[in-house]
Amino acid sequence: MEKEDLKIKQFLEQMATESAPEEFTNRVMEMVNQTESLPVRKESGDWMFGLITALAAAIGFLTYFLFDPTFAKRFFGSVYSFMLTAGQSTKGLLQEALPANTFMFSTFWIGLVAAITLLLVLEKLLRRRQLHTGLFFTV
Amino acid sequence: MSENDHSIIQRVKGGDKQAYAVLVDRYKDRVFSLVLSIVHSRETAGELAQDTFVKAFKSLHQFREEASFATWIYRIAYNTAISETRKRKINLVNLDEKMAQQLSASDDEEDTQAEALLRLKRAVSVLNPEEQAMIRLYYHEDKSVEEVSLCLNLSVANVKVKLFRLRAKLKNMMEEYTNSAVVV
Repeated sequence: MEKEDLKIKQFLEQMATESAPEEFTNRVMEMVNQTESLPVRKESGDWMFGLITALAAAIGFLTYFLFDPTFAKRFFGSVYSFMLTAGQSTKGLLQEALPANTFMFSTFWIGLVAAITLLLVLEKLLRRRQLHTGLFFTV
Repeated sequence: MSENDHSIIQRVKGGDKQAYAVLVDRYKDRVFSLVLSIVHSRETAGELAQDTFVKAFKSLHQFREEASFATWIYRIAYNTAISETRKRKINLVNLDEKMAQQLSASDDEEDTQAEALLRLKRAVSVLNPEEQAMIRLYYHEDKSVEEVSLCLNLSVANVKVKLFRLRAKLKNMMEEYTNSAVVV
């Protein structure tokens, strides 16, 4: 805590911590006693299930990748065509917004930037979601 | 020596419901104060603090102890209070009832101090719920920036920015409070 914060802290100490109402603990415990016992958590079940699913998916993907020579071409082809589609739509939007002679980016590069942006957004969203479910839960 | 939170949680998870009373006793005032700083009504804060502890009990099996129990319960309390303010459309700038009673009951000699303190409480109560919670967690509870970010579901960088702004507001309030306490 910075020096400035310590001053503020001392100042705010005038506003003391309030006390909970009387009989608070008893009232909470009455409600707690009315609820059913806590469900026993399957400690290893959660991550084990995830691990098995991920392994199965990885094995399936590798099998396809190694034994079907056209799969890699088709797989990467679909990624490439997605990037092209994304690029073309972005290019179209930019061309509408900008004068034609100022537009100088190729479709591929725009697609690449669009795909990377999309991945970054997805990563951000997933990380946020993981924080919610990993450390806590949504109340 | 008092039993630590971890072993109490293990006992509760093991089926000893009564052990939970120790946790409630330990955190009730702090949770109540946090909720009160957001809803500004002792009655509502009492109900919501109670809900907070019951929710925490029901979800205790999901608590992985990656953060402290205090951080976890503050987060539940904050979420509960915020959703209640939205639901009930609570007036966030209500005058604190207890302070108002104290002021009307205080004699002339105590007026200066009590009035200045009331003004301070009014000024602080105008801050938004997130700022109120930051004051409670960062300044009263000595929580780190990281813990505050977990309690309020904000990024660390965001908490730092908000704390910077809050610091400036509080400095202004301090100056006004000091001046008024001297002048009155």
